[in-house]
Amino acid sequence: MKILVGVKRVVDYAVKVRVAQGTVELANVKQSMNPFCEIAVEEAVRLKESKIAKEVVALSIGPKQCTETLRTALAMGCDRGIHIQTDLRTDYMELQPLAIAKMFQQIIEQKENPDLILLGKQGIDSDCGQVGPMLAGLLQCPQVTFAAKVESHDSGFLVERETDAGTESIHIQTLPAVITCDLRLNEPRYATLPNIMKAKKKPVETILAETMGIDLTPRNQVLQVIEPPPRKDGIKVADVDALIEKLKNEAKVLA
Amino acid sequence: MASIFFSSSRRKILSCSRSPPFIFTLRRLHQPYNSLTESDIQVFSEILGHNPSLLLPASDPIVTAASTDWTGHYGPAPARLLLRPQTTAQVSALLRYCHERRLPIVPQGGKTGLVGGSVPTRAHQEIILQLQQMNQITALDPLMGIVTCQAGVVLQNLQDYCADQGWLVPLDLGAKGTCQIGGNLSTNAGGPYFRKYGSLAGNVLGLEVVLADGRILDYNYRQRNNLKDNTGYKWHQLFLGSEGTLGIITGVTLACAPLPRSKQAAFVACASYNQVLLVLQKARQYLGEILAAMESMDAAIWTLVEASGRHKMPLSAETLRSDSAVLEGGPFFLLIDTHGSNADHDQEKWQTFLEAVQNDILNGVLAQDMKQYQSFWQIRESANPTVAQLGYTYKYDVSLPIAQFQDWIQEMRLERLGPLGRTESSLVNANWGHILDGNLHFNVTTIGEREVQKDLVNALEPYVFHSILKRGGSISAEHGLGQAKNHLLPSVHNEITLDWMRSMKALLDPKMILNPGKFLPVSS
Repeated sequence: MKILVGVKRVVDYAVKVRVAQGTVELANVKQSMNPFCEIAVEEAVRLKESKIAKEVVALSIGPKQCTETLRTALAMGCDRGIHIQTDLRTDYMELQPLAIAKMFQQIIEQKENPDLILLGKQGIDSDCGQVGPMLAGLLQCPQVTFAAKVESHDSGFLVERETDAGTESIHIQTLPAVITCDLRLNEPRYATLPNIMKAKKKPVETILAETMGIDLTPRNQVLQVIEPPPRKDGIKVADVDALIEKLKNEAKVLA
Repeated sequence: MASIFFSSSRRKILSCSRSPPFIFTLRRLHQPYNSLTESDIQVFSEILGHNPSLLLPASDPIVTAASTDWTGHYGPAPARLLLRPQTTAQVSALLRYCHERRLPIVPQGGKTGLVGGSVPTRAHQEIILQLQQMNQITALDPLMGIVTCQAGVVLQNLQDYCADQGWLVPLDLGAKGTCQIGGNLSTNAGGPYFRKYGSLAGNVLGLEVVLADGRILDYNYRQRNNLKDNTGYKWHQLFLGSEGTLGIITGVTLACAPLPRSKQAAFVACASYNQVLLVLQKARQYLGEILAAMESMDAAIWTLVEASGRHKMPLSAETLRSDSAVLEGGPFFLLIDTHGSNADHDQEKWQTFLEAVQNDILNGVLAQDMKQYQSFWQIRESANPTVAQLGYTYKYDVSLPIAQFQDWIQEMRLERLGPLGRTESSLVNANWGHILDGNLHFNVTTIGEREVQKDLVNALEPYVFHSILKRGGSISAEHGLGQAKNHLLPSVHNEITLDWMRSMKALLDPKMILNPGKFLPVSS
C-alpha cells in the first residue's frame, strides 16, 4: 500500500501572529510543519511500521523553504518527498483550498496513485479544513475527517471520527480514500539525529506550480485582516455582594 | 524581646568607625531589635495609605506562607508583620521608620530562592517587606533595548514585554513565572544564558536602592539611561548579589540583547563524560557565536523526570543504558540551545556540528518546531521541581572546572554516600547543571522522606564544600548564601576580605536591620 501525506508549512504554533501592512506578517517569522500534518505523518509512518503500508510519500506546496518541512517528514520516516514550488502565499491570502486540492489531485491521479491520502484536519493558519473534503470530492472517493483512530480493516480502514457529540466509527470499504487527522489520533515522534542524517539522502522532487496547468487564482477575496481587539483588563471587586451585582448587571450572566 | 539601651558614651564609641572588628563584635553582643507595637503598626498603616491589603498581621495565613521558603527547609518562622509598599517613597518611609525604631526587615520578592534568604529567621522574626506591588515596567527604549522597571516585576512578564518589541532580557531561569527582577538582582541570579549574555550584574545600567535609613540612592535609574557611563563609583554593583543586606532594590535599568529570530535546540545523549567534554568543545567550535546554552542532566535525573510522567521524553535513559559503550554514571544528556539572527545560517551551522559529533553521541533529537523547543526546556527546568517533590533534597550548587564534574561526583558518591549503605530506592544522587558555565547542581534526595536527616547532613557537610574548595571551585555558584551557606564564608575568604565585607555592612546598615542572619556569617 502507498500512502500520500500532505505537509503544510505554517507560522509556528508557538509564535504570536501579527498583522503588518494589512496582512499576516510572515517576514522573519518562525515557520514549521502544521501540527495536524505532523499527526498525519506520524500515522502514515506507523502504518508503514506495522507493515500495512509499503511506501510513504510526503507532499508540500509552497516556497523553497518547504524542503525543510519535507526533511522533517522524511526524518520522521517518510520515504520520499514532492515539493510543488510556488511563491504564492499558502495561508489563504493567495493560494486557497480549491487550488491546493486540485494540485493534490493532479499528483495523485497522474503521478503517484496512492491507496490512502492522509492530511491534517486543517491548517492552523487558514483554519479552513477544506482541502481534505474537496480533494475527496474531486477524486470521487470516500473521506473521513477528524480521525481519532485509524485501524486497518478487511481491505479498507475502520476510522473513529470526532464529532461534537462523541465519536462515530466509519468503515472505509474501498480505496483510495482521504482521511484527515485530528489531535487525539497520535502523538508525533521526535526527529532523531540518525534519522535526520538519513533524511538528507532521501529523494525530494521539485515541481513548479505554474507548470501544472491548474488555475491557481483565489476564489475568495480577503477583504480585511485585523488583530482581535485587546482583552479588557479585569477588575477586582471588594466583596461577594459587589461580585454578584457585577455578574448580574454588567456581565449579565445571572438572572 | 528585651530592648537594650546604650548609654550615650557607648553610642559615641559605636559611631566611630576607626576599628571595625571591635565595633562589629560589640554590636553583635548587643543585637537589640525592638518589639513591634501597636503604634508601629499605626505608622505603617498610615504610610501605606491605610490600605488593608498592603499590611497583613502575623496571624494571616498569607504571612505564614510567606514565612516558609520554596525548599521547605526554612520556616515557617514567625514573621511579625507583612508589608507591601507600592512606591519607592513608601519603601523609604517604612525603612526610615524601622531604622529609627530598630525593627528588623526581610525583603522578599518571588521567594523562589534556594538558600532561605528571603524568609524570616526564628532568631529575629523579621517584618517581611514584599516588593510585589511595585510591578510596573516604566519604559523600554525600542532603539537601544534599554528597559526600566520596578523591582517587583515578575521576570517572565518582563521577558514577554521586551520580546514583544524585539528585545531579550539577558536572564532566564526555571523560576521565571514567579521570581521578581529585584530578587534576581539582589541575588545576581545566574541561569543558563550566562555565557552568552553575560552576568546580570554586567547588564545593569542603572539602579534605585533604598538604604536602611530610608535614603534613596539613584544611579542612572530615573534619568540618564545610557549603555556607557563612567561618571562615578560603580557603587550600584555592590548591591547586586548582596541579598538584601545592604539595601532594598526598588528599580532597575537593564540592557537587553536583540531578540534572536532563530532558536534551535537539541538533546543529545553521551555514553561517557569524556564524550560530553568532546561535544562541548565541538559545540563551541562549530556553533560558535550562536551557542547560547548547554545544560547537562545525568542519567539519574533523566530517569526521575521520565518516571514523573509529566513530559514526553525525546530519549530514554533505560534504552540507552543498555548500550555497551555506556560508562559509569552514564548516559549523560545535554541540552544544546542556539540563538541567532538567521535560521538558514543557524541550520547550516547545526548540520556541520551534528556531522562532527555523530560518533561522539549515542543518539540525539533536534527540535523541529518551537513547541518541541519549549518542551525540551521544560524537561530541563523540571529537574529541580521533580526532586523537590520526591523528598527532602540536599542541594549543592557549585562551580568546578568542567573537566572535573564527573570525577568530583564519583568522589562524593564513593566516599560520602556509598558508606551510608542506602538503597537506590531510598537515596538518590541526581546531577544537572549549566555545564557551559562550569556550574553543577549536585542533589541528594531521600525518596519519600520529607524531614532532614542529621546523619546525611554530617556525611555530606563540610566535605562537599572542602572538596570543592580544594579543587578551586565555588561553594555557591549562583544560588547565593542566604542562611544556608553564610556560615561557610570564613573557609572561602581570608580575614581581610571578610573584614572589608563587614565594614561595608556596618557603613550601610549600622543598626543591622536589613535581613539579619543572612549572607554574612552570624557568629564572629
